[in-house]
Amino acid sequence: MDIVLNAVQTVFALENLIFLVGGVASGVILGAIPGLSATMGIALIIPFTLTLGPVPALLMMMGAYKGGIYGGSVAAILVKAPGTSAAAATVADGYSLAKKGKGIKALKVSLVASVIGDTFSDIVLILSAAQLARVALEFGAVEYTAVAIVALTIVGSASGKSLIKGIFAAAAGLSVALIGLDPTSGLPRLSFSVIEFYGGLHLLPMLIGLLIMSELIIQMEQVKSVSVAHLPNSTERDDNRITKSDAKLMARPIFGGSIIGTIIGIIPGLGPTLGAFLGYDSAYRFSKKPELFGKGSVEGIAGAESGNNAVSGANLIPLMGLGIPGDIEAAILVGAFLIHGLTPGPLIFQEAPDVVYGIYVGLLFANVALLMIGWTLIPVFVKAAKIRVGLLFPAVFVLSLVGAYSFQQSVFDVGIALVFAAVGYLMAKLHVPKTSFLIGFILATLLEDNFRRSLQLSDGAYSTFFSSSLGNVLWVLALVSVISAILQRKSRRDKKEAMMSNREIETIASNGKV
Amino acid sequence: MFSNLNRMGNIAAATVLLVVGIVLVQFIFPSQIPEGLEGDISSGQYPKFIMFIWILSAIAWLVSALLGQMDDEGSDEASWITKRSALIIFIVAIGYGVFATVGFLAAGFMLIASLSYVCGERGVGPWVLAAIMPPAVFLFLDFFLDVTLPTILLS
Amino acid sequence: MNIKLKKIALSAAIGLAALTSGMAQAETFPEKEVTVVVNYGAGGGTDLSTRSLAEAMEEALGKPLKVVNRSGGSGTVGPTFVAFADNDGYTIGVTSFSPMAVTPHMQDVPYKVDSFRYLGGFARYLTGIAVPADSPYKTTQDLIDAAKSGANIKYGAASSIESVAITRLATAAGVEFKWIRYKSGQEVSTAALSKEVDVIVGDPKEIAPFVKTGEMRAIASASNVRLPGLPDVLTLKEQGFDVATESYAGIAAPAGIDEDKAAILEAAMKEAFKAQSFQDTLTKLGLEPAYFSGAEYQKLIEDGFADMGADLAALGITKK
Repeated sequence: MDIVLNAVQTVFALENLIFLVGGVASGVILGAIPGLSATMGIALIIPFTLTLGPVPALLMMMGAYKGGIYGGSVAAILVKAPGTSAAAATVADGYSLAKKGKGIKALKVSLVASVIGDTFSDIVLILSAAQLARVALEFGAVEYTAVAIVALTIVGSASGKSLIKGIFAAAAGLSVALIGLDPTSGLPRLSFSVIEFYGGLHLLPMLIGLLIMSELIIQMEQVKSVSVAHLPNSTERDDNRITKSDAKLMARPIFGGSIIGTIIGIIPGLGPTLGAFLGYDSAYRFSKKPELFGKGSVEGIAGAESGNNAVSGANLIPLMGLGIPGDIEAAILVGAFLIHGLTPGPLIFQEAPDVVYGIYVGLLFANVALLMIGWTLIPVFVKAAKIRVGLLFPAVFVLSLVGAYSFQQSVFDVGIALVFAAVGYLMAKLHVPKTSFLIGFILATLLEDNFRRSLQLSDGAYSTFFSSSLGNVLWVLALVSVISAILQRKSRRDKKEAMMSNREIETIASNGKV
Repeated sequence: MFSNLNRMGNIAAATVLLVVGIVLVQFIFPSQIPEGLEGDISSGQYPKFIMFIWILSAIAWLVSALLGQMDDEGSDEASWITKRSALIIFIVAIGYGVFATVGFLAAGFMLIASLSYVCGERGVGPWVLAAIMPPAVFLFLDFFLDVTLPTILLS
Repeated sequence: MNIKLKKIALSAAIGLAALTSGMAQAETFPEKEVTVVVNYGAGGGTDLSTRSLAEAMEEALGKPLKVVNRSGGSGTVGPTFVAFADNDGYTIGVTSFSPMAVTPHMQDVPYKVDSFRYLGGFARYLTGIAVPADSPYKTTQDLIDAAKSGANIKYGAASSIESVAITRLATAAGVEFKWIRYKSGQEVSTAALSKEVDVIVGDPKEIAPFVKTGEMRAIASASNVRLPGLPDVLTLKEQGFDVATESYAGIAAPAGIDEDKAAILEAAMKEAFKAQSFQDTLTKLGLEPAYFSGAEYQKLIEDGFADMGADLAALGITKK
């Protein structure tokens, strides 16, 4: 108990508190600015880790990470420009609500879902890091291949009107990811001898072009009157708060999203974007109002935002319990541990329990800080997004240009962003779902690496894919997911056709042409 | 009915993508995908498998567009290239050129001022924004994030 | 922020000094901030060790050093940036062994070994070989015997250099091992813990912690010296196999830099290397501090480039 009290004291020491809150605040603000991301916030903190103690340095980084994942949803909701890839699943519903004057409600739903997801996964981390970390070891090449396929099946529900186009978009995402190093030999592939292609295309510049810039171009070409504010104001009290019925609707997706996000976090290498899409997907599948998804569903926002934030705490589980970082952010944390002579992993509980408990207490407090900071900033964000459209869109466009550049200080990346802005523009005009493309691209490395590694390990025998029981469970899950997506699409189409034919009959009847 | 914009767009897109897919597999992959290690699955196989899905779904897209199954997707976005969108794309391309050669401050100024104008802004607002925002962003990034945006004025 | 403030204070002080002492001072190098390009992302081992070196060099040079990351292209984007930067001495960068001596055999790179004026080397990357704790193979010899009697020994390794390290051993012993490639050292450790592969080759910091927890057994150091934190594990040479593989980190300026400026920078790096804070940081990161002068470092790169060419060709992973 003493150690916990000490940890509380450490965290609430003024200096540490400032670093923690500063981390959360900078994460939220950087994440909220389209194009800038939480990873930049974390990079900003790295020089400090050389001089700061381990607890404040790690808390500042974790704070920025948590804040950034929530912050990304702010621009997604208010400007239709996801600040981070993890917010891509929130765009459609969040922006639809904002367009109806319910931006504040959408932000509040997102914040509450984020904080609950965070807290849930932090508690799982604190209670059972050591035991759950072993789960990561159950995932070998075969299981990861199956996970990638299961995750790809969400293309079924993310595809909008045409499944064919959704599948094409996913295949295109998988193909674009072929650019880069061949995973078995390390030789460059499809590089055309351009040095920037060697390592493959990065997600961030692509995302900025595909989702933000293309959307801004479309918005700008549709501006009808410049003097109107971008978002309507609603004076209706219920539009600006989470009502009782909203809260009821949110409960199930948040619960589902938190669990899914936590599982994604425990398995190294998957990341918050996948947590968001899977959280959104599960909210959709179990919803009583699936027809609202994409048009302003509170459930959709809740599922996606709890799903991505729940990854943040859980990805410390393999780090603390096993010494294996689950994603890039966690890998950066390893550096911060090492520089202070600490090695993350099971031994740290004996070697430096004060640091471990300091981090645990800090994480929980960071969630409170996120709730307070996020809530305070909502009116500021809403006000900022309300400036005249003729100024807002060009300004955001310039910011996204800056974001594409800042990621690696590369003019080439800005070019990549603009190429994908053109691609995204055409995709929107042709009704090809961008999210399917994104899902394909994000999963490509996971799929290819592990698919090919499985075959290398089995000396070429395809039977290896059905040789593990966990793998087989995942295959069944993939099959169920595909079948249920097809059935859901069919029933939705039937409903629509029924509605259509009714309308046709009415039209014909009113025309008197029968 | 070929006056249907959706159908024309879909047929054109699916045809182009089908051709691109075939060209990639037939002509680009052989020189751009290294043999690599002799393995249980060679380096060329997986990319071809992915392109197989590409080509197959492009064919399905083309067929279903030809059958007119994709005609009713229409929305306000279906209005294809307007004068304004062509202008915006032109401005953005110039903006990139300025960004890469002259630097961010000039590109930022030019993009904000001209894009606002295209959107219909006429007052002093856009000029003020164009003059203030890029330097502010520049300083913010330089001071807080150690990111120096390209500029010939300050190098 | 304090770093920034320090920089501002420094430049203000320098400005004053320059004003008061006139021309003589203005001729001294450096007069302003020097940029250090790191060829890997922020937060990694190379990044953190270079930042620590840069901090120590600030003291020796009396001017701030700004560390920027130009990652990508397997670490080749950073050296490219340095090779094409102005050779006025205000841009220097990390030219670690792998992008200088290994990757050019696998990818076209726009620089050559002599595109740089090397300022020196500051660290040695060591490579260890380990097996899961309950593996039937207890020693290096066990692995070789198993391979000789027909077992298909699979090793996990993330980089080409690590693969070369174990392949040199296999070739010396007249056997073959099968490479399973992973994206990162952490993935390799995981593969050992989950027993997906028979043996792994990796950085000591991805092996030592797991040896401590009793989940891995380190069987050899593939370098010339023993591994930090694992003093009882013999090198391959000590075990009677005449092979060793090492890799290094160093910094360089673009070729054609004024020799006086290069000498100032080289001296500053040598001075910075001695700083206790730098040495401590390196050790904590699992790197071995090792100083090489600019000329020595260039020799290491040149020799390494030639050796690696043959080894990589034997592995079948060179560009056409």
